[in-house]
Amino acid sequence: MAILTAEQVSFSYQGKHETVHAVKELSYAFDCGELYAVVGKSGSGKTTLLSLLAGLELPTQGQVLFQGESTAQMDCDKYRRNHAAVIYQSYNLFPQLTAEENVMYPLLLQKMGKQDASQRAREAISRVGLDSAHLRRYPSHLSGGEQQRVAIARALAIRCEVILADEPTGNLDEENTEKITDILLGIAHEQDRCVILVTHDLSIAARADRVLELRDGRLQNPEA
Amino acid sequence: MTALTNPELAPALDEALGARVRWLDQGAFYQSDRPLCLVPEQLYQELAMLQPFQQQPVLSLTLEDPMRPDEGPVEVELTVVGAHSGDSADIYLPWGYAQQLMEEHFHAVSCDSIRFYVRDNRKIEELYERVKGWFQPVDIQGGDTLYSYALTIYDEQYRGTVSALQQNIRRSQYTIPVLLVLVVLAGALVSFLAVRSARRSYALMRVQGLGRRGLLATVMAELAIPAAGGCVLSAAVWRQIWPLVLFLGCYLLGGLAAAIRPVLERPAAILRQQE
Ligand SMILES: Nc1ncnc2c1ncn2[C@@H]1O[C@H](COP(=O)(O)OP(=O)(O)OP(=O)(O)O)[C@@H](O)[C@H]1O
Ligand SMILES: [Mg+2]
Repeated sequence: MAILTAEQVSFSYQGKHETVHAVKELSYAFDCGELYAVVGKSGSGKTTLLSLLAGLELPTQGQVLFQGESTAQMDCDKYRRNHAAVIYQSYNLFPQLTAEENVMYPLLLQKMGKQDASQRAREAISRVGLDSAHLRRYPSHLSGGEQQRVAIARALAIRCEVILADEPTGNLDEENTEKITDILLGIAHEQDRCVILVTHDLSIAARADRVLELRDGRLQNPEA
Repeated sequence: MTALTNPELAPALDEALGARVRWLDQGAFYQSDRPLCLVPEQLYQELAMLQPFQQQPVLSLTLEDPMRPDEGPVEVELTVVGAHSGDSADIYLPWGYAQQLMEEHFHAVSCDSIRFYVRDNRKIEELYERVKGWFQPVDIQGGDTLYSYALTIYDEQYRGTVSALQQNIRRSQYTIPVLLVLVVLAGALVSFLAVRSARRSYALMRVQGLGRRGLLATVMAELAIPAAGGCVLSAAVWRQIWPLVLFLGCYLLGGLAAAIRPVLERPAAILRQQE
């Protein structure tokens, strides 16, 4: 069974003067063990789709199901706490916390003990290729690529099934982009998770297992 | 007759001001208990003419104490050491001598006027109360009381200073509440801005699964713990509780106002705005 399913999902932003239909009647089933790339022009609804899958927005029509349960019915905070991590293009980390503390934060939200959380955080940070010297650094003392790897480590640490990344390499150079993509691919394949990645970069899309193309809120290739 | 005690009065007898004084030596006249005196210019001249062979004229006086007529008159001879000009007919003698004279012959020191300075002018009211019993009110009509004494307290300077102080105190009674209100408002503004500037972090917490109530608790704890610590410290020093409670309350309200959006709004919307 698919881990995450969109069923006839539509979403519109209710502005003061107009209603923007950002996602229209989108249906798709996402599986574990795959890396999905979502592509499309600016304004085509990619970020909105990610927010719907993360339970940050609820569909105005249709439904998003995680393991068969609709996001509209469940406690979305708990869903994100335990099952779905979101990574943004920039400012993913708390500036006042060190790399290690940033990774520990969602674990502490899960009510894990400090000792265990720290242990888990160290493992995750080394998994994304950062050494222990980075643990005690604040985000402002990390490069953009390193910050993004800490953000991925944070997603890994909570052992969530779904990782949703909105242009995580948008601010990075080619070398770092490649590294991040490698890590995300590795996570999807080796750890059997569902990784959904929004990107403008076609070279990343080419390495994904499946590519979804959005145009004006509609999925162009539902059979992908 | 006027008795002088104080060298600070010298300028009043200064030559430049008209007194021709043959000082014995510096300041010695005032503390002297020898029979010396200063007389008006005219008297000096007359005495000098009457006693052409004296280096210093001598003034012979007959004294009587009107309070004790039965004591009888006393003859004294004073050496004239100087003259003062002007209209006054005063004869000045050193206080030490005058005192000795009175004690010897009249067994009491009596004088027409005493002038003194109060060292601690906070006690001026107390002084007034105490000496009131000894002085009679002055009878302007010149009634039949032979000896009426007036106490005049020159306290303009004291009153001027005190009223300036009282005015300052009154003014500060108005300004302290105004300052307090300003401080409280500033506190509310500071916490409002602090929470608002951390909006992105709060949205990020929500993305990671912190619930609305949890976020509200986090924001309030972040504000309240250091602020309450500060208030406890200042309460220990200042011992004024209600202004601190007011400050703390407004400080938290300011933060709460800024927390409304991150708590109620969808985190995705906040993150998008600041992208
Ligand atoms: N809060 C909002 N209120 C109104 N309209 C919105 C809001 N957020 C997004 N939109 C609109 O919804 C549409 C989809 O936006 P979305 O951010 O999902 O696009 P995107 O594909 O992520 O674009 P980009 O590649 O630039 O990030 C756009 O037309 C956008 O203007
Ligand atoms: Mg976007």
